[in-house]
Amino acid sequence: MEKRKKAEEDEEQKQPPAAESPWGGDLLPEILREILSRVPYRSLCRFRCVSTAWLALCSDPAVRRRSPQTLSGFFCYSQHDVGGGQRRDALGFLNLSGWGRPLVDDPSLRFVRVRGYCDVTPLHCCGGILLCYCEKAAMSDDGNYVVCNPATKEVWAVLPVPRNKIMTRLNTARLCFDPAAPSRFVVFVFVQSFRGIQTVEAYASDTGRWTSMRSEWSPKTLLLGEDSECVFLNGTLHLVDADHSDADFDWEGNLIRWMVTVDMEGKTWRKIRLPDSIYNGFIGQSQGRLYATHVETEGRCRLSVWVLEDYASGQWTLKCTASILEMLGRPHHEPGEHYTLIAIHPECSLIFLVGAASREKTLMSYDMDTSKLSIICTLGDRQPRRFQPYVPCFAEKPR
Amino acid sequence: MATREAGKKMIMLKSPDGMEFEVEEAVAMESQTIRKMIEDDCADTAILIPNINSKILSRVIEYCNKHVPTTGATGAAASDTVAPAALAEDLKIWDAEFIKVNRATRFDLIQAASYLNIKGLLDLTSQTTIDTISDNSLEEIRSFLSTKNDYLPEEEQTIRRENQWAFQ
Repeated sequence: MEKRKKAEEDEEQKQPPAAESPWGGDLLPEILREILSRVPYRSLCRFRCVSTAWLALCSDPAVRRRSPQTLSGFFCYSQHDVGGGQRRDALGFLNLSGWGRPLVDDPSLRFVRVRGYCDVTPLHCCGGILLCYCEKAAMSDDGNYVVCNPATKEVWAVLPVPRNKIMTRLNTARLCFDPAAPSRFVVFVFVQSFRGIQTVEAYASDTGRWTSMRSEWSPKTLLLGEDSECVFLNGTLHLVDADHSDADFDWEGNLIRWMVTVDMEGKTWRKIRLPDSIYNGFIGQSQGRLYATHVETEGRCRLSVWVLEDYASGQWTLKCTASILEMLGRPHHEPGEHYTLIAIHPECSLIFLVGAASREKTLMSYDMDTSKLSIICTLGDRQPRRFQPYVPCFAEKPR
Repeated sequence: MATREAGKKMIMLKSPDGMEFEVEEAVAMESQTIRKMIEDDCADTAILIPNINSKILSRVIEYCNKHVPTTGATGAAASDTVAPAALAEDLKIWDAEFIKVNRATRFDLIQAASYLNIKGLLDLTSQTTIDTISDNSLEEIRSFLSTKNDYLPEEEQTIRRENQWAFQ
């Protein structure tokens, strides 16, 4: 082994790498494409500045299609005048990249609506792919689940909505899609019944079939339909259990809350205890780890962020805590002053939050490494809730 | 080195510089290219790998030997215990050691992994290269790839401005 390495070093000294191709080194373009398709979009944009040949290579759609992307913004709702003094929520997109053309140029998802839907509600954005509930007529129970890619404006699947005995919109539907394994996606529908969630229907794109299974969670598990918080990470769906019916308290009087999980194949059902006293926050994923957050609604408006460092044992670690009022330099809490944590950046230690003392709400980011709070923009007509973080994906529809 | 066991089918791989490597069929089939040849019955007793020299081929075989899934009773039983995690950790350490090679060898390995279609090896070699260059300055990247900046000054200004956000 030692000998071999030594020999290689000698060899390298003898033959310095020669620039044989315009891309540099001795690599064939198809090999470079292979490498570059694994590079995050941001690095790809930097590599464009290396040389003209690299500009061509990094702009190649074949490379871009597979390149891992970063957070480009949020799907969210804004108030629009619909005439007659009435205002209505409409789907929009808040562009974070702050330069050039936004990656989403059809934020109201017209490419889905033209298929005969009057209303399109994004339920879950997972790996750049959206799962939407699409209504055929206003306030009707007649609709479909539609899986689509806003980056390529391609509809991936139009699925029937499994019936329940109450109202189909009370079902909780979530998507499992990993851009690193783009050949397949799974849609889970947790069917609401008067006895809680008992039946779960799962649609797998590779078989094109629905599978019906029994929930292995506690029958008390409560999911909040569209508002259910959900993270898909490492092939497993994680959902916050909203059950408070007979709230558990630990011996210190802390409210115990749980997250329920099921893997993409519907085989492993687990529950993981959330950090104590979490009720005003969200769960999210960043750099391959689960995060849980909480913000006080009064006092110093202290935010806390935990990371699930040891997934197997379910051990949360407090990552940081900071007072929003102090960071904003505000002396005291005003009536009505409220902050909501909305998302975590998938690659940076950055938390997004909205809120303000005045009516004019702002979108802010909090850097957990430098403990700095920055204001990004005012929200304007945008609603300070139901933000869906969006990371574009240029994957094609799985065959 | 793996010893020949009864019942295990062996395959001969030949490099263009005339070296011959006898490997278990399962190990050779880590390569999707070779798997296809075997499945299509294109493979006799020996398969010539036309563009990979013996030095690189021996390293590729070393990788496949390590990564071939354990089969039979041990594999089935292992899935119920913590062993797979430990096994994965062990493989990771082994991979990290395996990829400690010079630049030219790594590029040769990428080329070989691509031709032989060995996903794990391609992932490992490509990712290591990306990790090497991702955080480097443009000058460092150019020197690593031994390529030259051929932008005209005004072109470079434009392209830098357009992509400025990616440098922040």
